[in-house]
Amino acid sequence: MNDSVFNRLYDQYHQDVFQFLMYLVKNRQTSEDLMHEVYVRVLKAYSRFEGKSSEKTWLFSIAKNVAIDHFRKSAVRKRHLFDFFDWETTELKANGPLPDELAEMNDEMKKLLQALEECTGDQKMVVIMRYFQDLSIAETAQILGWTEGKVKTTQHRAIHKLRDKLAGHSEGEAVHDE
Amino acid sequence: MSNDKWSEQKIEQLLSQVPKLNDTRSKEQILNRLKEEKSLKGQTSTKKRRYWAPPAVAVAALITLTLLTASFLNQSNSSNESTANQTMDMEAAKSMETEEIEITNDINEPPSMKVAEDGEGEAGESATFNLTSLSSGSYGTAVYSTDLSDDVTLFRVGLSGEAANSVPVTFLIHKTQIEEDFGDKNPTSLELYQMYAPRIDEEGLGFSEYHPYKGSFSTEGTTLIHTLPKDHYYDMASGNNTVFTQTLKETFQEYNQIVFRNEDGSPVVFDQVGEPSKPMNLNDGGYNYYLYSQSNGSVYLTPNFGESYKSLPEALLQMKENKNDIYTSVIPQGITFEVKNEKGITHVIFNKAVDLEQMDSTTAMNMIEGLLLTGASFGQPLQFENVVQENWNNFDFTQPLPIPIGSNKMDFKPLINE
Repeated sequence: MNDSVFNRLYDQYHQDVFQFLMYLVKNRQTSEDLMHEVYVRVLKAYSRFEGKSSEKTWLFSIAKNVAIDHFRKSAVRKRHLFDFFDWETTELKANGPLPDELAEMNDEMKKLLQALEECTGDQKMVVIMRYFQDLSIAETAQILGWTEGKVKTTQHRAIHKLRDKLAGHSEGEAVHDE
Repeated sequence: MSNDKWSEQKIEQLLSQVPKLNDTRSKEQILNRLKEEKSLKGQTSTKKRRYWAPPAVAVAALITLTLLTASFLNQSNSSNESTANQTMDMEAAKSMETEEIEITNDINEPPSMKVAEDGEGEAGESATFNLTSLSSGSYGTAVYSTDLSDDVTLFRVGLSGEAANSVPVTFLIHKTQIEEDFGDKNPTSLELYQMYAPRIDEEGLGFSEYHPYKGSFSTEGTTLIHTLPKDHYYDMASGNNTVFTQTLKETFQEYNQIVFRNEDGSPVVFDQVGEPSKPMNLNDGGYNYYLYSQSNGSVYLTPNFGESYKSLPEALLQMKENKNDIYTSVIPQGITFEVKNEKGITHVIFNKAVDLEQMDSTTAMNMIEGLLLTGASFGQPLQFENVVQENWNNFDFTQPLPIPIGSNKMDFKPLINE
């Protein structure tokens, strides 16, 4: 194993990629396992990295694949059969209790992240990349293998959906409160 | 709470303020875990010991490889350019490895697929490393009976891909290599596996070091018995189990079923299943094929995580869909087709005339071979209708096309025994 490659990748990208995984799966132990898998794939393939994309987008695209693979395996495990798993149209729902940092957030933020779980996989992915990770539209497009237009459209739809979901929640609460 | 509270602007503002989530582990902890990773250990000290070939042999091998590669490229059209064949590096030719394996077998088993043994072929040219030379009929990446010279034995194996998946590849092993390893004997597919699996340069080809399987194999008629040690770890996670079962199906498809036993003879209980394992069918087939890319750029035609279908028409029609992030459809945008059975032959009827010369040749070849491999998985040939060309790259579209006998053709470049 090439320690110097690991050290450099760790110093430059580790916390960003880890946060990306954390917001996708919302579980620290799972994120640690997925991060490990990301490094395994990256270190195995590093010698063949051709520089067609930036190192950063390459790393994130591997992390994205690892995470989607995790959701796919979970879906297969639950259903005990090989149903189709289209991550773009399926919710990439993170189950289980929230990590401490998220459990301590204010109510607004909690509701927002809860609503994000109800978005489709492509919307959740774009929101995390664009807003949580500060990735540009071009970078997001490269990581997802999409056109920039598709990123913009998906982002727009995600925000719309979040607004609808949150407004719905608020209405529900208002009725309930009454 | 009013709806106005959740304006788009407010949502975007909040999204930009989510708390940072840090990994609280130290760099050393993460590095130490990676150092324990078995598949990475292979990068510096592989499962097989490496030895440098004598310089003269290495030079001869490189010259031979160069000649063969040039010859192969001349024979092939440009559609081969992005396929796995060209990603094989020369490292394997320069290094030699060996490993002892503990696998037993029985002689009472089905014969492996073996092409006619007569004829000289091109053994003389490639004798140094016993590389397989492809016949002049070679095209695409699937293997056809017409694609083989007289002296080639097929060795099919499922390799472990980067996406917790299995990639079925077909090695073509030359007669001289078989004779060197087996003498006059016609080896079974299990014997081929036992001989060559430890010598596949999986890592050099861009795959995980996975073969040979742990434990030992024996046979009872057309049933394969896999005796597993306690620490096999094939069931550690659902992904491991998927790779394990799918690679077995793609490696031993000439056997009817496989039985998993512990060393004491009791049936294995896989953690992911939780009950004593039952015999698993190995030759069900019924797959359709998609494009799968590894991070090194190699592209393969493979089933979608082993998903199978009951009927060929259903499998063919589903191929238009992109099922997941790992596999992409071989059918280009804008191309649609219907499937009909006429006089026992399945016809793929394109709704608009398909001009293969106007398409990128790789895309066109992948589409044709993806469809043909799907037909082959049901043991059926396909006839295409509404293709502009009557003949293209050795395909005669005026009649049913040949059934491929293997996917993802590769020359076998064995790691050399000590």
